[in-house]
Amino acid sequence: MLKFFDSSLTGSGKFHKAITDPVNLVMLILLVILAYLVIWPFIQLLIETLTWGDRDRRISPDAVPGKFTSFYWQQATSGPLSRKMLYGPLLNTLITGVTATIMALLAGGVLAWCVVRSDMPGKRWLQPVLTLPYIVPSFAIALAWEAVFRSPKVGGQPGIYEALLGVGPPEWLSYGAFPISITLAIHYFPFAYLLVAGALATIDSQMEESALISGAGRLMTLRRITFPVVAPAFLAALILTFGKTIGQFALPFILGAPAQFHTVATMVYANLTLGLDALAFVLAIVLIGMSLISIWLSNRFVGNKTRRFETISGKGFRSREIALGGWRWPIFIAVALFAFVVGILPLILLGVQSIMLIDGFYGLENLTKHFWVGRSNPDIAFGEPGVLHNNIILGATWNTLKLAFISAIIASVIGLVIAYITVRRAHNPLARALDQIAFIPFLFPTIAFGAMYLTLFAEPVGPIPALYGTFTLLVIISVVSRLPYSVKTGVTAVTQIGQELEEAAELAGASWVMRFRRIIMPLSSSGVLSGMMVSFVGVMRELSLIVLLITPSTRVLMTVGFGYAEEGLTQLSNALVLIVAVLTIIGELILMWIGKGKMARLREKQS
Amino acid sequence: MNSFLKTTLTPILAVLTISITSAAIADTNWQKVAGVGEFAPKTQDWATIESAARKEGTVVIYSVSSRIAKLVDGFQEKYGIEIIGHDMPSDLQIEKLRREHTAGINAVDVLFNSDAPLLLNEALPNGLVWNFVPDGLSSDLDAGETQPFLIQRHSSRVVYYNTALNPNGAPIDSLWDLTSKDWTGRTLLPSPLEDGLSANFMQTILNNSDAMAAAYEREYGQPITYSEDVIEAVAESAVIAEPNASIEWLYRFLANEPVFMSSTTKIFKNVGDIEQDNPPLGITTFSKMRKNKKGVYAAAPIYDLDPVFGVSYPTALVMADMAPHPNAAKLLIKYMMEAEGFSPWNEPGDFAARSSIEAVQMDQFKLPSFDALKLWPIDPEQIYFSKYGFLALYLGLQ
Repeated sequence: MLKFFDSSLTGSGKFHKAITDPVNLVMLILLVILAYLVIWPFIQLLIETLTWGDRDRRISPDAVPGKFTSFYWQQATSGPLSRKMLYGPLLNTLITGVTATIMALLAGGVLAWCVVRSDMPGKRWLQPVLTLPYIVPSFAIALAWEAVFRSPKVGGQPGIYEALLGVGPPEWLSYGAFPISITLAIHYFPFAYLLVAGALATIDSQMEESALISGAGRLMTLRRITFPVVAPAFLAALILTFGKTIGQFALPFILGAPAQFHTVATMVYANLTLGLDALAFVLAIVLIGMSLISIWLSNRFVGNKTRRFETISGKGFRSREIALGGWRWPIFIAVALFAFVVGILPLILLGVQSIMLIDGFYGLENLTKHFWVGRSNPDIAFGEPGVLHNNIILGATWNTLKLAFISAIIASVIGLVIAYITVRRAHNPLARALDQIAFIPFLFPTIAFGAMYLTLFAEPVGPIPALYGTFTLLVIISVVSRLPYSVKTGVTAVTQIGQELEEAAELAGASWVMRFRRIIMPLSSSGVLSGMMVSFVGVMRELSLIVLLITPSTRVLMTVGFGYAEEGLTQLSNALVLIVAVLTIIGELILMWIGKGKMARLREKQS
Repeated sequence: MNSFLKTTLTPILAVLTISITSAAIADTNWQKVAGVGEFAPKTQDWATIESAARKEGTVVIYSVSSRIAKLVDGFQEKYGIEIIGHDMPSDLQIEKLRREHTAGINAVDVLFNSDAPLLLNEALPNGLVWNFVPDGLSSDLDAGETQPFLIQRHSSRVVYYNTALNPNGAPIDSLWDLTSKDWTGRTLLPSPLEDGLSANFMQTILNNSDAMAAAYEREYGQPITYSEDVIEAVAESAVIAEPNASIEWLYRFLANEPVFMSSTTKIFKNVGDIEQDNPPLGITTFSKMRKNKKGVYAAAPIYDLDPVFGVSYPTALVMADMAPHPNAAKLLIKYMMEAEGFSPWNEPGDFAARSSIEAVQMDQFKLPSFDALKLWPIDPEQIYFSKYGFLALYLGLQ
């Protein structure tokens, strides 16, 4: 019907419609904003890899600052160093990235199904526990692994494995590709879990029921109904997980460095450490390229084959749990055990370490409350008071919460708008460009991002005031850095919303803003909420992105914790990590509670 | 095209030139007011500086150590001036200052920074920072500690051993022992690719190849010969002309499976833990000595290791260009050079640059003087210029 109207319009009428269409208008505005916030820094990054910098007279006597050079690209891709700097690490990156992604998707998918669709007991409290591994910093998971599988050659106390079995673990279990893949999977499976859970929540059980009535078995239903519907969520999880695992450097450093196992990300970090920024940026661009290729491949081989299913239609909606029968308790025990080992145990380890007077020395007489509630004592930790008596930490806590909440909410709304444009205008190349641009921050070297934002907003540019040292700047960079997540979660959610709902509203005279606010936002809320949680956690834990932009008045918990870690005050930095974890859980519960209320009201209206 | 150039570019260029010159004029004016560089007065009038500093009211410092927070109350009480401290790694301080300076933001007064290579080769020549030495300190400091910038203390990365399990003294006496079979897979250190100071350690050894060759002869009783891999790596390198003893040492050291750990504290503890059978050696921060604890950790540096037992690096105090509170900056620098302002960093293994404070430290910690220790100081010039060559060599030897 709309087509008919369209084709009857004259050319100028078409143009008129195109520019007055609010969706197009929003798209153009977003493109301009993202061009400034994402593309411009990216181009600067690219330029830095193609020109000699001020520092480069130390690399080559021919270096003239500002002049074009292909030196860095040649060095990285074809020089004598390329094998050690790029290709070897690239292979390692692919091995660990692919293995970790597969494991994470499997774990996340199975768990999401159990929690959302089955009648497994204890789901209410398992839900938040299963997101904990992402809250715990990756280095904590790596350290926990190290505590168990420590090789005897590193000295100190024996690892738990060696203590129990009497012999040291084999080398491949202590360091290298195997432990890196597993710990990466543990850290990132909550992505897949949250995304798939969000999509599963919108499956109308009437579809499954009709399949059962038509004679399909349980497995058949799972294969032909459930899985195709959540395929876009899997796809999004695949891209996000793969992208994150190849960009992660803290974990491969802890579990890879002892065995001289390098990935591209650790090479980026190494080059930055040595002050060879341009080489680091070349490798970072390789990483960005890798994840763009992975998106392209997955769209091509998976995306086209799975049709996108609109599960939320104008008709009624019911979600009924699937009975597990005799498997109910065994499955519960398995899931609970898994959740405990990956989610709670690392936190307990951190907690125990934060009350040990002497770090790493187990024994009751060594326990102390000092690092939590103690007053300043010059004999302990340079007289640093316990974290709960520290005024700096109170201020930082407030800043952290403010930043995480505001950024997560803004990022989700903007992400949803971009997702809407991407899905509804899938054939518009500008819409596709918007989608791609929003993904670039994902693998941008965060420290370089921070440095560029320092310059970008130092002076007023047009209508934008100078934002140097303000909280607003922290919000902007946090929002931009979370866009890749919020757009991907948004796409998953919007895909499932039937067009007919909007068309009906449009015929009834609802404007686009009204439609977006009253139809798209509420109906996508379960998926978007998952994305919001991921962003909330991500912002809480972010350090290197904002370290250059922080001022003492905008200090956040992670920057304080960084200072402690730098000084070797393990107990205090562990206590801070725990505070961040607890705050994140509280934040998640609040977000979930808001979301539950919304969904419940919505369901009420529908039925 | 020509008219385009004239009408469009000329005004732009004019504006640019004006803004650049006005920035330069502003900078000169600031130098006059702040009294640095060529405008530094013959003698410093501390009464005037102090009263001006009190009027300024605050002082902003980028600090490599979070212990700067310990000075806030004392400084406030003494001078009524608030210290605003940003904890930041040394290289990031300079990156931040550079970008702020270009954008015309003048936010910081003092840098407390241990990246001497960057300070010397980027910050000072580009006029980002100024050296300020309070009067009366010169007699208490070596010439190299007041020029090109003021040094507050010397820290080091040194080789540690477990003293409880080696009651007869250190198990090794030469850096070359670290490449022997006895110590395969049993030296802990932060990876030079992850930790700038660990890279400085290796680069400093590379810079002292004659001493390393001599130590080889003392250890093995014959002149050094080079491995085939080393000869090959050097042949491939565009930067290094011929093999030397240090490259050979690095090659053998890497082939001897050193264990890279990121936490210097953990390295100390794994070496010093008294409840183990076969303690490793470790290259870690000298001042970790303070973590020794009776019945738990017992470790000490191997002071008479041949040719050295470690590498030292300075931490500097410099004034930022266009500092908004120049007098408070001077006052804070002076304060941090005095015993009271130095106290947060007073620990065994961190040596005050001022001899008078160092003397108190030696007495307190029962340590020899810094100058008497067998340490190589880093060469900021060499480290800065050979970073890329080092990375290439390191990866080539691995």
